[in-house]
Parts: sequence; structure tokens; C-alpha cells
Amino acid sequence: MPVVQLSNLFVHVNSSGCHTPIIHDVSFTLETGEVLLLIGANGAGKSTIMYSICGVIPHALETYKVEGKISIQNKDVLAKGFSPSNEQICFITQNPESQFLGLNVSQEIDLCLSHITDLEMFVEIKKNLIKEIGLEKHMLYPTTELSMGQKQKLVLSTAFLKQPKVVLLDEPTSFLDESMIKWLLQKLQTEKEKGVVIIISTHNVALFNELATKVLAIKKGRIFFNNDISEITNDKLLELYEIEDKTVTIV
Amino acid sequence: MGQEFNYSASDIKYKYSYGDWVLRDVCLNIKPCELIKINGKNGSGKTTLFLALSGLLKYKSGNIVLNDSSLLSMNFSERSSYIGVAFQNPSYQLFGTSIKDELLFGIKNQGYSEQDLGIRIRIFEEHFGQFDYERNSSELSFGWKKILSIACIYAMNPRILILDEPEVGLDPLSIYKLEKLIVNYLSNGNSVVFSSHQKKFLNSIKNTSYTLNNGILNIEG
Repeated sequence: MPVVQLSNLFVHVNSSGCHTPIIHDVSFTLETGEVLLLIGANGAGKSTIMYSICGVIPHALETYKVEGKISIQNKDVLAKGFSPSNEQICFITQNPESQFLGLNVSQEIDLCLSHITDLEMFVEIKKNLIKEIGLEKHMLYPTTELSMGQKQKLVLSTAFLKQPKVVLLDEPTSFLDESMIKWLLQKLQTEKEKGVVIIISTHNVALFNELATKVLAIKKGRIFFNNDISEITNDKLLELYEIEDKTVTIV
Repeated sequence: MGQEFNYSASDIKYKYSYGDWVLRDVCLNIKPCELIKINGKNGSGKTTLFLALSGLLKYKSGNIVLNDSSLLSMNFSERSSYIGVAFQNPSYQLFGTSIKDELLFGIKNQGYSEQDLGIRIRIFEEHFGQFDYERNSSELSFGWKKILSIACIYAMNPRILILDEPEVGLDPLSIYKLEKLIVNYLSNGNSVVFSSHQKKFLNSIKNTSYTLNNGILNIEG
């Protein structure tokens, strides 16, 4: 039984009265422990697919219209009343600032631990988390005072606290420095081994070579290729991004 | 070739209301045609440095002298012809109006008119293709917002272009185009100061690298 299943997904956006199609006929399935890289040029539709998988489109963004079928752990994402948190889906958006509630670092972490009722356990988990991301000195800072990289690592570190079954990460490494990227890759490897399904949108395939199992390339809203990671070649990527200079290496 | 310019920042200090000094006695000279890379970990103060260098942040002490005048004493249009910064998060820079209005905002403040826009972003569009001027910037993907935010500063044609992690969110083709654009910009006598966590970005072009650590800026090598 696949954990994530998309069948013939079409997404239209309604801007100033007319429906513009942005995603055309996208289908794929992911089993337990699979890691999918979602790649494609700027504006190809990667983020739109991410928003659709977790149901933000169309449930929260009503200017979008969705056709087709999306199911996660056999639940219909497009059905009325679908809630991503009930299905243990975690989505980290591209802009880390869009995920804070305007509290301080300590309080933002507390919110992500609200499901833990045992006080000792709560304190222990929080202590470890803060140490891992190196924000010990920043606990009482409002999140607005953090740098973009620190914001991104704070958001990413909280992604796994509620033991999600499906994790969606939209360009998760964009603002991270080398040591934090290493931290994230290790974290994702552990989650993958636990059977978590991970979908990562990225421009950096090389970074996830070891971790990923599949690559879905989107071009102008359509599937350009859908392959195992082992089948990805530099030429294929140059073709996807329409780079004519063959000396450029991407993988 | 543009005219010569002198840019010298000395003993710049800054701290936010929370925490320690972010910049401690930072000194930096920028010469025409120079490509400067600022390295540093997450939270080391790179963005703060860029805001200070561009005069957007009132540093607590120190001085930045641009052609014998203090940077902070200059008005916007004077300053913007010398130095401009494209922010790390493009959302801070865009108003959510049409792409044309986004591009016009800066150059109108410099005293130029709509007719001047074409020529001011001609080379940018030769690299990235023509923008759809009537489209609203809020509809763009993150990557395209980033490209537009760089174009807005580019249009103002500053002698020193500061780019705060400009490759973030850009696909490989756009990164390739951006590198070519920067090389072209440098060849016209301008300077570029940038930060990036991607080692390969602009790696093949001769640059001066600095590391920012604990608020201290040191030249590498």
C-alpha cells in the first residue's frame, strides 16, 4: 500500500477571473521509507505540488482549483475536512519566516512539543534540540532577531518532533551553512530508516544523492521525467534546465 | 568604464538590542572591478554587515567614506548610484505591485522616468529574458522573486552591488546566467560584494575572500 499517491493531478489558479492551468496530469506513488526529490526550473510548479500534497491547496488557498486524486495513508486529501496534522504530515515551506507565530525561540519550540505531557521528557527533548541546533544563547530572542539561516534551522529542527509519517521540505537547505546541511542530511537519514516518507524540493540534486530514492522532474507543470536516483545523469539535468553549455556540471 | 571611486569602511561596530556585538571594528576597502566574498556561518553577521556597508543600518560607531563624503550624510539618490543591496529574502524588497512598478520604484527615486527603464535593465534582460511587466510580483515563485529583486537593484546601476546569498532559490540555469551577468557587471568597472553557502557559486572568478567570525572580519589566504 503506497503512503503517498497522486493520480492525474491538475491544478488551476484563478487570477482576475480566468483559470490558468499550472499543473498538468502529475501522478506518482511513494512507499514507506522512500525519499523523493522534486526538481525543475524556477516557476515550474514544485511548490504548487507541495502545497497540494498536504492539502493547503485547495483547502486554505481558495483561488486554486484541483482535479485528480491525492491520498496519504489511504485518506483523501481533497475531501472536505481533511487535516494534515491528523495524518501526521509535516510541511516546511520555502520561507522559514512564514512558519513562526511571532514568539521567542523558546516559545516556538514549546508549541511544537505541546503533545508531550510528561514534564521531564519535555525538558529533556527541548534541551537536546537546542543543543543540536546551537541556539543555546538565543532562547529568549524573538525569532525576528535571528538570521535567515538560524530561522531555517529552527524550523527544520522542529519538523520531526511530532513523529510525522510524511515530511515535505521545500528547498530546505537554501539558507543553511555547511555544518547545518550535514546535520539535516543525518537527521533525514534517520527518519528515512524509520520509514518516514520524505519529499524534498531542491535545485541541488548532488546534495541528496545518497539519501534520495527517486527523482521527479517538473517542466512547465508537467512531468519531464520520473526516475530512480541512480538513473539521473548530468545530461538529463542539462536538458531539464535547458542549459546549452555542456561543460556545466550539476550532479 | 565607470569613473573611479573610493570606498572605505573603518571600525564599524554594531549590536542589536539582544545579544553581543555583531560587528566589532570591521574595516573594508572596496576597489573598482573587485569581487568580494564574505564567508561566515549561519548567524555570524553577514547580513548585518551588508546592511551597514550600504548605509541602511546606522552603525553605532566607525565611519564609511565614499569619495571623501560620509556615506550616512548622503541622500538616497546620491547613495544609490554608488551602492545597492539585494536582500536575502526578496519578500522584504518587493511591494506586491506589478513587475514594472517594482522595477521603476528605485530608478524613479533616483530621478529617472519610465522611459529610462528599458535601457537600465537591457543587459539584465539579455541574460534572464524579458519580464512580463504587467504581472503582479506576488504571483511569482520564490526563485523568480529573487531574480526580480536583484533586477530592481541592478536597474539603479550602483557602482557597488551587494548580493546577500543571491543564488538561493535559483535553478542551475539561472545561477549560470547570474554568474555571467556578474562578470559583465565587473567588467564595466563596478564591484560586487556577495555571500553564499554554495562553494561553487562564482568560484571560478578571481575574488577577495573574507571571513566574518565573532564580529571580526578577516581577509583569507
